[in-house]
Amino acid sequence: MSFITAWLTNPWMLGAGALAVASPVIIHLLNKRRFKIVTWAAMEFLLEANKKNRRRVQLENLIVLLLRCLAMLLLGLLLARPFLPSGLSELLQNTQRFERIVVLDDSVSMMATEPDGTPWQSAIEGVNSLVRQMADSQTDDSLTLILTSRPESPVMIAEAVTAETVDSVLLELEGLRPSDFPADYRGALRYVDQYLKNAAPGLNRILYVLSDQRSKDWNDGSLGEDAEAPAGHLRQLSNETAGTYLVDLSATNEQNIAVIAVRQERQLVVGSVSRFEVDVKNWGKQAVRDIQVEFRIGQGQPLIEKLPELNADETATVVFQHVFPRSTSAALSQSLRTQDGGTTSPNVPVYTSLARQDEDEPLGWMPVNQDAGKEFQDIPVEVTLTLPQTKLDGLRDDSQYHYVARVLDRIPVLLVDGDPSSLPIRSETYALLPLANSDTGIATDLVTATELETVPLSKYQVIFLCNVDRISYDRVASLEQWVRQGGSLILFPGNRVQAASFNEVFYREGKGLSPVELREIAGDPTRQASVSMEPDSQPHPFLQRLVQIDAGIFSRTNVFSWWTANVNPQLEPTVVTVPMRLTDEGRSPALVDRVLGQGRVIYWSVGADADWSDWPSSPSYIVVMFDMVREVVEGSLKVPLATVGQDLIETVDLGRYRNQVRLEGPELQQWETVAQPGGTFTNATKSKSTADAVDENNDEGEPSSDADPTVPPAAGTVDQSGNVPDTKTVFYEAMFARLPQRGIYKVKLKPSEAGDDHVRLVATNLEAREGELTLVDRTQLASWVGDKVELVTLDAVGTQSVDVARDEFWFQVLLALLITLGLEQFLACWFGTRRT
Amino acid sequence: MNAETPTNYLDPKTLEQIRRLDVRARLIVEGFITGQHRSPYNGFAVEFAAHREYVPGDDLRHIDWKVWSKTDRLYIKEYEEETNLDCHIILDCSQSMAYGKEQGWSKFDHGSTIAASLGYMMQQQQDAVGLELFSNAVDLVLKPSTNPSHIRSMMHHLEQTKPAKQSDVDGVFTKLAAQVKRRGLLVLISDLFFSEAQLAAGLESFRLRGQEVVLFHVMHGDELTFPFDENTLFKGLEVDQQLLVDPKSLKASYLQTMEEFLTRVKRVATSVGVDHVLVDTTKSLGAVLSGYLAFRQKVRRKRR
Repeated sequence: MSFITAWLTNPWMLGAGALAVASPVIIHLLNKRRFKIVTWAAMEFLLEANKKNRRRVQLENLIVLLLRCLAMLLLGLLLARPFLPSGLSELLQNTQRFERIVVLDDSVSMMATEPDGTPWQSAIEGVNSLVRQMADSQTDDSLTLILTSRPESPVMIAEAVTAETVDSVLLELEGLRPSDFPADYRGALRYVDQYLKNAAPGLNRILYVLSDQRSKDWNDGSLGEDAEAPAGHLRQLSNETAGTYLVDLSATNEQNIAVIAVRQERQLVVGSVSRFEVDVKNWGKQAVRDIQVEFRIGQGQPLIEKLPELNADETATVVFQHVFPRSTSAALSQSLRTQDGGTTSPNVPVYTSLARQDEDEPLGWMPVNQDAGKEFQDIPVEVTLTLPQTKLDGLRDDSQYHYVARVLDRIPVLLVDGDPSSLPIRSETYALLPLANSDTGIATDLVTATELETVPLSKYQVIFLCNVDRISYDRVASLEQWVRQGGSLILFPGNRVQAASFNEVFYREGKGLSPVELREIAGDPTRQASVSMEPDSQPHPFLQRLVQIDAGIFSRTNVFSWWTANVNPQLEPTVVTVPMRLTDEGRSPALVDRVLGQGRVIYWSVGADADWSDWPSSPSYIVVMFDMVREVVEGSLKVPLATVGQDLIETVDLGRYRNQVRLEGPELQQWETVAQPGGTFTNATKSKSTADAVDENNDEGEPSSDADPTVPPAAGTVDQSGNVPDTKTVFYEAMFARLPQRGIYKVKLKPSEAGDDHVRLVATNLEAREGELTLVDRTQLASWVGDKVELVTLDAVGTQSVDVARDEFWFQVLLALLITLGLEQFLACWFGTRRT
Repeated sequence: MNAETPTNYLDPKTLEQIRRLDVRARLIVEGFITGQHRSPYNGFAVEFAAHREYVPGDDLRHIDWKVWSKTDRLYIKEYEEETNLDCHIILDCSQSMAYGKEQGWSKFDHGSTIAASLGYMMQQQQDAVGLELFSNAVDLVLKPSTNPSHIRSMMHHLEQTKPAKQSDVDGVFTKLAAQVKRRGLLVLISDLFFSEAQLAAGLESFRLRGQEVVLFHVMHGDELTFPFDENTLFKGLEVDQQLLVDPKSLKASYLQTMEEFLTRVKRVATSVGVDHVLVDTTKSLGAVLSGYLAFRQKVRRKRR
C-alpha cells in the first residue's frame, strides 16, 4: 500500500479504475448472452465465412476490448492524481537527491536587535544546521545560496555538501555579513526562476526563502498587476520546485528611529552661515522620547540637539547652523550655533590643527578642490541618533547618516567694466567693488571688455557685464555655454551701449542670451526728473531681505535715466520673470530674471554706476547685489550624496585631471576606472554590464578596466554640452557601479600635471525605507504566496521532512486517455466499415 | 403506385395475404400476362372449337372461306390448340426452402407460387403441366396433363406440402429425369443448396433428355443481403450446427462467399445451356415471369 500511496494522491481512485477495467469485459459478456435466434438455411456459407473471418475478428475485438480496458484504467489513474515519486522513478531520475536553494535576506534590516540576537544570526544558524543535516544524510545533496543583495552572483551554486566538504561550506557561511544593499527579492527570485529553468532535470529542488518579512519587501503595493512582485513570483516558483518554504526569521521589534535625510539650505560658502536640516523619522508604532541628535562636522565637536518627543510614524526636522571658516587659516574657528525655536546657543570656538588632520585623520578637512574652476572643500558630516532606551531603536545602522558639506571656498565673481577709468570712482564697476569683502565669501576679479575675450570663464560663477557694448561672437557663444552649465550672467547696459549692437550680440532676435530687447535710453539726462523702482507684491528672493526690512526702500530711489526694453515674448513665463519695474509711463522692466540651462541671466535697466540713478550709492544696492550673487550661486554645486546600490558618476575635467579615477571606500577599499566621454553614463541606459568598473573583490586597487589609462583621451573633441569644442572644458565621466556600503567615499583625481591627488568626497547612506521594520501581515502574505508555499519558522528548516517531488503528471494521463478513447473509436469505426 | 395496379399483385407482400394458391396464381397470370402472350406452338391435332365473326386485324388465314361462300360473311374458325409440349415443374421442398417462414414468406412459398403461376399459365395455353417435388428423394410426381382438374390437384399438393427433410439430390435428379418421357420444358425451382457437381449432373441429365431447362434459383432476401446486426445464434435448418456470432463481423465475408456460390451456379447453368434466373423473395414476381417469358421467346425464335 505504501508503494501505491507513494505516487498517488487518491489511491482508491486507481482501485476504482482497476475495477472499472472489468466493465468492458462484463459488457462484452453480457452482450454475448443477449442474442436472437435465427434458423438459417445457408448455414454452410455462414460457417465458411466464419472460418475465414474468425481469427481476424477475434483479434480486432481483442484490440478494441483492450483499448476500452486501458481507457478505464487511465480514467482511474487520472482521478487518482499520480505524481512522480522518488521511489518509483529513482531508477530514471535522481529524485532521491535534493538540491536546496536558499535565498537569504542580507539587508540591513536583518541586523535589527531582537531579544535573542539578530535575525541574521538566527538565519546563519538555520542555514548551518541545514548544512549539517545535509552532510549527515549522506545523500550527496547540494546547496545553492543566493543573497538578496547580489542575486546575480550567488555565494554557492549547487555546491555538494558531504562529510568532506561540510567544513569548508560552514566556513564560507561564517564569513557572510549582512550588506547595506536593500533586499532585492525580485532579482533573487528572478535568478532562482532562471536557475530552475536552466538547471538539469531530475533533481528535487527545495527552495527556502529566509526573510525577516518586512512589509516594505513583501507588500510593495503592486501585487496582482505585477508578475514580478515577490509574493506572486514566489507563488509561481512553488509550482516548479519540490517544496517552497518561506522561513519567518521571527522578527518582533518593529520600533525604529532613523535619520532619513539631511539638507542644506543653500550653497555652502566659507565664512557665511550655513543651515542644515536633519529629518528624523520614527518608523515605529509608539512615541519615542529624548532623542539625542549629534551633528558632527569633520573632526569637530558634535553639535547636539534633543528631540523631546517623536510620535509614531512622524518625521521631525532638526536644524543646525554652522559657519565654515577659511581653510587657509591654521586655527579653525568654528562658530557653532544651534537654533531651536529662536534661541541661539553661545558660539563655541573650536581650534584644530590642519597639520594634524592631514597626517592622521582621513576624514578631516580636505584640501581645496576645484571643479569647473570653482574652488571648494568637501567636509564629511555625520549625524548620529542616540536614545536612552535602546530597544526603541530596533536598527542601529540607520541611526547614523553621512553627509558631505561641499563648501565653496569663495564665490568667484568677474566684473567686466565697459567704461573703465583711471579714477576708480569714475569706473562703471566702482559700486560693485564692496562685494569682495572678506565676510561675504565673494572674490572679485576686475577686467575690461577687451580682456574679457581671453579670460577663462570656467573660473567664475558670476559675471557682471557693466556697460559692455560689444564682444565677439565667439565669446558670446562661450558665455552662453558657460551660462548653460551653471554660470550666472548679470547684464548692466549703460550709456555706452548701442541698442542695435547690443541686440545683435545678446538678443539675436530672441535666440540670444538677453531676456530683453533694448529699445532706447529714456529719462532726463539733466537729472531734473526721476522715476523710482517698484518691486512685485511677491518680492523676488534677491529683494526679499531688503523689502522685509524696509518695504518702501525702492520707491525712495531716484532713477534719472534708464533703458526701455521689451521682454522677449518667445520665452515661457516659467523661465523669465520681471520682479521689479520702473514707475515711468511705460512701466519699463527694471529687473528681468531668466533661467537658462543650469544658469541665470539677469538684466538691470539702470546702470551699475551712479550716473543714471542714486541707488548705487545707497547701502541697499550692495545688499541686493550680494543677495543676488548668493541666490544665483545656490545649487550650483551638487551635493555629493548617494544611496547604497546606486552608481556613482563623477565628472572629470580632462583639462585638469587624468582620465584615470580612483575610488576609496569607507573601509579603504580601492577601485579604479577610466573616465569615458561625457554622456556615456548619464544619457545612455545605465547597464549593469559597466559594473565591471567596480570590482568589489579587487582590494589591491588594480585597474579593472581594460582601457589603457596612460593614454589620455582625445581632448577638445567632446564637451559636456556637446557643442563648441573648448580644450579647457572637456568633461569625461567616471562611473563606479553599485556603491556597496554606506559611509564616506573618496574620489581621487590625478592632476594632469604633477601634484597631489585631488580628493572629493561622496556620502552614501542606506535606502531611506530600510529603517521601516513594519512586518507584513502574515495572513495576507500566506494568501499572496498561495497554498504551495509553506510559511515555517526557523526551527522547521532542516528538520522539515520534505515531500518528494510532487510532480503530478495528470495532464499526460489525460492526454493518454483521450488518445486511447480516440483510437478505440477510430478502430471500432474502421473495423466496422471494413466488415460491412 | 396504386394497390390496384397489376404489378402490385406480384409483390410478395401482397401475395402473402392470399392464402389460396390457385387464386394467387390466377391473379398473377391474369393480371400480368393476359393479352400479351400467344401460344407459339402449332400442335398436330387441332380441334375445331367455334366460329366467330371476323374483326379487322384477325389473321386472314383463319377465315373460313366455306362459310363465306355460303353466307357471304367472314367468319373466323377458332381452334382449340393442343400442344405436344410437356412442362415439368420441379420444386425443391427440402428444409432449407422453409427459410423465411418465421418472417412470413418463405422461399418455399415463393417457389410454390412460381410453380402455381407457371402451371396455371401453361394450363391456360393448353400445355401439359406436371409437378415433381423433391427433397432427399422424389416426394411427389404429377405427370403432365392438360386436364383442368390436374391443375387443381397440383395446386392442392403445393398447398399441402411443407418443406422438410434434407436436400440430398444424389440420385434424385436421375429418377426425375427418368420420369421425363417427351421433350418439353423443365422448370427447376430450388435454392440449390447442394453441391455444384450434383447440380451439373442433374441439369445435364435433363438436357440429355431433350428438355429445355429453366432454373429458378430462389434465394431469400436475408440470404442475399445478410441484414443482421445484433448478436445472433444461427441454427442450421438442414445441418445440425449452430453459430453464435456478431453478424456485422461476418457480413462481408459471408456476402463474398454467397457471391462466389451464385457465380459458380451461374457458371454451371451456362455450361449446360440452362437459363439461370435468380429469384429474390423480396422482389416482385415479375422478374420470375419475365425470366420465363424471355426463355419462351428464345425457344419460339429457335423453332421458327
